[in-house]
Order: sequence, then C-alpha cells, then structure tokens
Amino acid sequence: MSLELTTLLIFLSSIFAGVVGSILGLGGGIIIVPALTLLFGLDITTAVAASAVSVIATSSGAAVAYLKKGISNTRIAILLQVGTTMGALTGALLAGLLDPRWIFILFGLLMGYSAYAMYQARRTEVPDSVVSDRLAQRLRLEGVYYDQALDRLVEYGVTRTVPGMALMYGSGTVAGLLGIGAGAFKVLAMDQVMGLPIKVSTATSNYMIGVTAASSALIYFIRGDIQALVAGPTALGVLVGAMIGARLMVRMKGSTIRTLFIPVLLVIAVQMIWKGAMM
Amino acid sequence: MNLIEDRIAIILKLGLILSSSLIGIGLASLLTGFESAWGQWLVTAGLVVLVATPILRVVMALFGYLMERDFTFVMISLSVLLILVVGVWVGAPH
Repeated sequence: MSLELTTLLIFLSSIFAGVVGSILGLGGGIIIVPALTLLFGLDITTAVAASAVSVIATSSGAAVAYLKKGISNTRIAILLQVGTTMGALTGALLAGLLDPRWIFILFGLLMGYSAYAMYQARRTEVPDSVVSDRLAQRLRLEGVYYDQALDRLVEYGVTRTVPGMALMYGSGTVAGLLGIGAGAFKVLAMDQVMGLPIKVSTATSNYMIGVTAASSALIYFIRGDIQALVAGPTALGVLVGAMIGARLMVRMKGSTIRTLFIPVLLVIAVQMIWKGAMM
Repeated sequence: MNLIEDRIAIILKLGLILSSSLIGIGLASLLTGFESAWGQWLVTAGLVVLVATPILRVVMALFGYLMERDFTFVMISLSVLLILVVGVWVGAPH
C-alpha cells in the first residue's frame, strides 16, 4: 500500500471510530487499536499511542456540540474525574506489582451483567423521578437539558453519588491496568448507578475521557511513541467523526443509544474476560 | 447555556481549529515529500495542541468556579489537575 493510500484509509476508518465513540461516550479505542494493528499492520505501541490521541479527539470534537446543547454536565464530570484520575494513577502504580487476572475477569463479568441490565432497560428514554441524594443537592449536580428527540426539556436528579464515585475509581484502575473499558464504565456508572438520562451519561463520559487520556498521551509523547503519520490522520479523522457523531446523537432517542450500547458492552466484556483468562 | 460552558466551548473550538490546521498542513507537506522535517514538526505541534485541549477545559472551569466563588469546585478542579501532573510524573520514563 502506498503511503498516501494508507494515510487516507487510516483517516477514513478513524471517522467511523469518532462517530461511534462520540455517540456512546467511549474513546473508540476498541475500534482504533484493532484497526491500526490488524488492518494496517502497525505495532501495538504505536497503535495504543495513536489511540490515546484519538480519545482526546473524540472528547474535544464532540464536547463543543454537547456543551452548546447543554447535554454534558460539567459539574458531574469534574467531580467524577477525581475518582477516574486517581484510579488511573492507582492502575499505573499497580501494573506489574499485581496479578490483574481476576480483576479483569471480575470487571468483564460486571460489564457482561451491565449489558444485560442495559438490555432490560433498552426502552427507557429518561429515568422517571430520580430523587437527588443529599451530596448531589449540596454540590448542585442536578441539571436540565432540551431533548431534541423528545421535543421537551428534561430535568434530572442525581442519586448514589458516592457509589458512583467509587465505581469511577475502580473503573479508572482497571482502565489504567488494561487500557480498555474506561468510557463504557463511566457511562454505566452514571446511567445505572447515579440514575442520569442516557444522553447526559454518554455526553458527560465523552467530556471526561479526554482529560484522563491527556496524561497518558503526554507520557506517550515523552516516550516518543506518537508517530506523526499514524497519530496525525487518526486525530483528524476522529475529530471529523466526533463532530458528525455529536450532531447525530443530539437528535437520537435515548432508547436508540441504549440499543447501540448493548453489543459494544458485550464486546468489551468478552475482551476483558479473554485477556484475564489468557494470562 | 451557562457562562462557564459557553467560554469552555469557545476556547475548545479555537484549540480544535488551530490543531486540525496544523495537522492538516503538516500531513500535506509530509505526503508531498516537500519539507518533510517541517511537516513532521507541524503534525506534532498540532497533536500537542489537541492533547492540551482537555487540560485547558479543566483550567477554564477552575477559573469559572473561582469567579462564581464556588470554592468546593475550585478545590475539586485543582485536585484533578494535581492528580494529572502526578500521573504524568509517575508514568514518564526517568
């Protein structure tokens, strides 16, 4: 394959990753890493480094639209970010010290169970009457946004704030160890634990993933793992995809997003259990 | 829309325009083989700007909370930034 063609193909497949990632609040690493290694034959270090850049591109590319539409909740994002960044740090420190096999299998099973829970709740547009807990009230985490698909304002409460943060810490640790699943766990914690509407969950997760990825991307820069001809077209493609995805997502029904989420959760669950079992 | 979100969106947009132009021009010069070293440098600069955008969002939010005198969230934003710095320090090769 010529250099021009490879660059173009990386760009085009990254658009797809950006669309999927921005709608579901994931980094798109589950698409980018296999695409770069399997389709383009790149080594895993280069692919993972490009994937960290692509997570940031997904996050920032979609964030402009989500901020303007008021769908992402920046207060919840920054609060939960304490948990995820501390978790990522713990994961980085534990790597090599701990046999992560059982953690992978445990979280893989948890992810599989979440796919089932998501399937059961697949028709839910907006959770009804979530009463905010005391901490959420004190920190003013509740919010309101205009839902284009439902054509009405959606007011939402936030519950189980502390368990939500604890799950963020756990998922941050796992993501730091394994390198996948960070975005999916954020969405699940907000949707299934804290009772947020699915669109708020994915948009807020999308907002958060860039911040955690920024520190890993910086580390890859320092190590010299970021290659211009790989990370460049990936970043551009993902940016374009994320802008398209964000525009699609604001018009989508919550139930559609839930349905799209189920197979992705299953894939991540299988990946995690597989990696754990293979260790 | 809230004032903080509004400002973050504007800064973010500017950052993205700058970053994608740098990457785009850099890739074009790399692929045409014209000024390859310069192209490499431009793409890297664009990627650095892109990587900076999420950090910038936290910093912008921090200033927003400071102006609103919401000190709980000032502390929360500060701790996120601090953990990020520690994370880079721990992860970077020494």
